[in-house]
Amino acid sequence: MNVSEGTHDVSQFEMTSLTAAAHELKAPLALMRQLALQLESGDATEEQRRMLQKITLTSERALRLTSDITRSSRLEDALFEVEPLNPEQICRDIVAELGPLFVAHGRSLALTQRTHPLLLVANRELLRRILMNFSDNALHYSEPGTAVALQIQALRKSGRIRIGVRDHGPALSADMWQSLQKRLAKSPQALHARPQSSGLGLYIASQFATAMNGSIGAVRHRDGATFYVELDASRQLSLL
Amino acid sequence: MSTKVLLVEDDLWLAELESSILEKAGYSVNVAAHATAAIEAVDRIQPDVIILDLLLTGSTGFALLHELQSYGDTQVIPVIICTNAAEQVSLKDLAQYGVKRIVDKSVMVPSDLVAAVRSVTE
Repeated sequence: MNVSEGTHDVSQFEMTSLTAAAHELKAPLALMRQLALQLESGDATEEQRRMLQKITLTSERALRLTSDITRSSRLEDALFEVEPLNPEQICRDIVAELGPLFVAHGRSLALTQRTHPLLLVANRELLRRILMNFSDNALHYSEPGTAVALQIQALRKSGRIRIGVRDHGPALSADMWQSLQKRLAKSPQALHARPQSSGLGLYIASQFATAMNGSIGAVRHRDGATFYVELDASRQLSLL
Repeated sequence: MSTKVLLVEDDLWLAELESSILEKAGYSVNVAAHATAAIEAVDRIQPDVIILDLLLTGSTGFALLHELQSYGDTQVIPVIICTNAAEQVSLKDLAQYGVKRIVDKSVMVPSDLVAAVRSVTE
């Protein structure tokens, strides 16, 4: 499947092949992770321990992608329950889960605090996976020593809530930006968002968002980018 | 006498790793690489608990679960599923086949397996 060009629709056949490959990759990745965890718990020097932690974190990152692919292939067959959710809690969980990975890469991940709580309508697991994907993407493309921020924002006009992941890294070129905007408008497709990116993660995030009646998008900054997901706000708080 | 664990796992390296973890925790471990070997091992060692991978070479773990449920003496052995496909199965559906726990291989830490065995045998 030529996702690197980002110009073709992802066919059912391609998705099936990709899912089969993801299934096959899971077992060796899980084994690598288990072996690294076992070594880490033994008599390793500090330097060896750091390297083993990197192997564990990298395996976990790859396992997340394989899980996203297999889950994505089942979107059409399954009903995903949506419910009113507090996005802050999900963001805090992501910060706790990915924090060590960011620190190991010399970066940090934090949630920009809000004064007023917001509720949105989503499936917890799909939303979590979208934000994990954006955070992972931000980790890869942000400059060492910079902070990546998860930001939650109410869009009053549209009645939606936007959760963005803001990174600080090389600005996207104008060509790449225009190309990304076009593809975001025509999803589902492979979204070639950044140099050396297959766009597969964004394609899956786009599918997950669509399954929750939401959408994904991006904002270009002079010093990086914000990738975001927009979902319907829950009316539950306004009824109180 | 230590608790007897039958580990049904077709990945040799993973089987070695999991055996070593369980043996360090004081369990007696036998490994079967496929369903046929597992049935033979069940008859031979009469395990107290079975740890079963679902996606085995040849007959799947599901076939083995059916087989175990079809005999009075084997249907009472508690089974722990240890799989990379954990998100595609549910304990609710598999409980009728003697499954007591599902451990997700892709996110577990070594102590999870020991904790799972302990929870179904003590």
